[in-house]
Amino acid sequence: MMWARLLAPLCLVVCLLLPVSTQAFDFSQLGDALGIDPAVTKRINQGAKVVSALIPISDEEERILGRDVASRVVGRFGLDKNLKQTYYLNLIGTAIAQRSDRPNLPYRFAILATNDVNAYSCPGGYIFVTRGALNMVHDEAELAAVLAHEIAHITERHIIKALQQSKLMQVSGEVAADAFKQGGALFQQMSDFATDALFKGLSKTDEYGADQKGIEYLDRLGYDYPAMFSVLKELEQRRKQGMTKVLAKTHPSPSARIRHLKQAESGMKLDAPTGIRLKARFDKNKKA
Amino acid sequence: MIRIIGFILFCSLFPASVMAADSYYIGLRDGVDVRDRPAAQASVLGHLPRLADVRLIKTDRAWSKVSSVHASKPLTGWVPSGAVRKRYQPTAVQKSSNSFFSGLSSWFNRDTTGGQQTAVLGVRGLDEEAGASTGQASEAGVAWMEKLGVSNSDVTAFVEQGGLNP
Repeated sequence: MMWARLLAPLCLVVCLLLPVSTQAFDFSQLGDALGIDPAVTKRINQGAKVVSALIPISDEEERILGRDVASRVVGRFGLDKNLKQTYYLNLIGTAIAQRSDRPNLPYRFAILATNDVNAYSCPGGYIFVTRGALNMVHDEAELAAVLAHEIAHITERHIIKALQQSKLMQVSGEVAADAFKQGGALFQQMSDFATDALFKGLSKTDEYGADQKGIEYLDRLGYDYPAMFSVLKELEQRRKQGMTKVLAKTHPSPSARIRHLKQAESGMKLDAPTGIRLKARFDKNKKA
Repeated sequence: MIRIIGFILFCSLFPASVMAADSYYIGLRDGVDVRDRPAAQASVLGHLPRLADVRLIKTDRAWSKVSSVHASKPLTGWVPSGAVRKRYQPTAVQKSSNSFFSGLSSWFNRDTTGGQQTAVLGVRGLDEEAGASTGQASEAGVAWMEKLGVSNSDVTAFVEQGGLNP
């Protein structure tokens, strides 16, 4: 037991210092040689895997990856290049992003040329709203709610965290850094992973978390945060009519999201709803 | 002397933005009553409307002592801490503008006219293929997107015009 107490911190330090994959080193063999309880070495091995999964990804590396993913999103749907509406989208999105938990990322917003109702956020600040989603929302606060949800996926680094916990990142920090700098097979695999996460959907926990953060951001900027509930209720109506098949594959049901958000809302420090919906401004820009 | 040099070195570790005083405002929709003590039963000294600029003097748990900044009649007292919000201050990164929309911000509040339509079509014409769906990665599409960007002054004006929190 004494050996185990000494060995555990030593192994963790070794894991942090060695530039090789910790996955490549099996501590159970060392434990066997030293006569340590296999249950202890098993726990140390698990710890080593966690260490390897936490290779940091800088904001710039995230942007490089996100840019590649964004190019695939644009390639898949195409852009709707209505400049005035894109400008309007960038104003709303930037105002929210500036008050988010990661205000210094270079956020960019664009409209995808598809009538599917959906929105996508790529790592590093590339955010897309579909033409179908723009046509669905009724006012600026609802559009802001959609954007706030997507910004929250980025500020919470949902895709990046999933990537960090994947087997792809069980490499050394140097190998990962080279992948971001020089591209190559590993970078393509990372981009594949992130694109898959985007199109197949994140975890339900991440989606509920993005809804919660989203209303927090709406509240910070002063939009009427119940707009998030309005959007979800509209989505629920459309889901019942079978009009949101793509969204249904990637997100929990709107009714479940409303339920989770209601539960979370009571514990959040939100101001009284402001009632600021800005429908006239939205309608004016929608006609542009 | 050593202490002074040490103090200067210590201060130099902090960026100017950290050292600059934060500014605050009243964020509640209906404004807030200013009281003479940090208690809901305390006497009301006056009222501060939504978005009123205040100086934060101190915070005592759920209550904050503030004084009005631009009011004609100065008002100092206690308000619920939840009513006080820090004013957003853009960082140096956000202040920089590489706006593709430069000069277009004035369009925002105008009705669409023929001249403006011409300008829109002109910009579109720069990179028509970037918008097309190809099924393959679109470097041109992302490059188009990256040219876009709104200046901080445009965003500030947009926020103010909408009556949103500064």
